[in-house]
Amino acid sequence: MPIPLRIALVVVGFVLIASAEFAQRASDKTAMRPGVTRMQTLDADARVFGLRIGGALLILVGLLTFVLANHLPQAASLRLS
Amino acid sequence: MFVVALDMEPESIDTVLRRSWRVFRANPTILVPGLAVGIALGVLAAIFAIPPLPPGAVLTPELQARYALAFVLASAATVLAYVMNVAYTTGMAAAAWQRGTAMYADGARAFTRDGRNILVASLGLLAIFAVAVVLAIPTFFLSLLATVLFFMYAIPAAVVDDLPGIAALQRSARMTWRRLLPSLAIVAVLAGVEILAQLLGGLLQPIPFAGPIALAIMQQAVAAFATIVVVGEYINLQSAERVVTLESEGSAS
Repeated sequence: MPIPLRIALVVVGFVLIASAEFAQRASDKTAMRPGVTRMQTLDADARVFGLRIGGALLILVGLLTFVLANHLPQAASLRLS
Repeated sequence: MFVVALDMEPESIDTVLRRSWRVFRANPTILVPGLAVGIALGVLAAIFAIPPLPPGAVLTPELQARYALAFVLASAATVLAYVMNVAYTTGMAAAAWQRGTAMYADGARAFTRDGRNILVASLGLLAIFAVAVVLAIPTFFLSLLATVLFFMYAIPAAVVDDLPGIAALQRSARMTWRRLLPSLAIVAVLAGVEILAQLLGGLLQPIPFAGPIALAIMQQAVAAFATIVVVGEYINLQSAERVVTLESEGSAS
C-alpha cells in the first residue's frame, strides 16, 4: 500500500473523530430545541456513533499498515531461504 | 456532619426482569455497539492476519520483531475493543434505566469517563477468575459460581457510580452479600437464557452465510439483555439504600 494512502487513512480517521465531536455538540444543542422529535435526536446520535467507530477503524487500519507493512500482501514478504 | 442510611425494600427479581425486557425492547440499539466493535475487529483481523511461516522460511530477527509487535498491537486492539464494548453497553443500559432512552452518546461518555475504571476492574476480575479456575476442581466448580455471583455488579458500579476498579469490586461483593439469594436467582435466570441461546445457536449455525450472522446477533442480544438485567438490579439495590447526608455544624462540637 503506498505511503500517501496510509497517511490519508490516518488523517481521514482523525478528521472523522473530530467531526464526530462537533456533530455531538450540534446534536446536544438541537436536542434542547422545542419541536425536535425523539427520532431526530436518535438519528443524530447514530450518525455521531458511526463517525466515531468509522474514524477509530480508519486510524487503526492506517497505523497498522505502517507497522505491519511487510506483511501486505501477507506471505510475499517472508524471506525464503 | 453525620450519615444516616435508610433501608427500603428493593424491587423483586420478577419486577426487575420484566422491566429489563421492556427496557431492552424499547432500546434495541444497546446491542449495536457490541456488533460494531465485533465487525471492526473482524475487519482488522481479516486485513492483518499474520500468516504462518511457510515451510523452509527463516525467522529472521527482523521478522521476529515484527511478529512480536503485531502480537502486542493485536492484544492492545482486543483490550481496547473489550473496554469499548463493555463501556458502551453498560453506559447505554444505565441511561435506559435512568432516563428511559439509551443513546450512543451515553456509551461514549461512559467510555471516556469510566474506561480506566472498567479496565482496572476487569484486570482484577481476571486475577480473581484465574484463582477460581485453579480452585474449580477441589471446590466442585463452586469457586467459579462464587466469582460470577459476587463480582457481577463490578462493571455497573464502575460505570453508574464512577467507582475506581478495586472499589467497584468491593462494592459488588458487598451488594451480593446483602442480597445473596436474589443475586443467585439472577445468575440462574441469565444462565438459563444463555443455555437457550446456545441451543438455538446450534440450530442456526449450519445455515450458510445467514446462520453465523444470526448467531452473532443473537449472542450480542443475550449479552445486552444480561447487561440490562444486572445494571437494573444494581440500580435497584442502590436506590433501596438511600443515604441521606445531613449537615449539622453544631453536632460536631
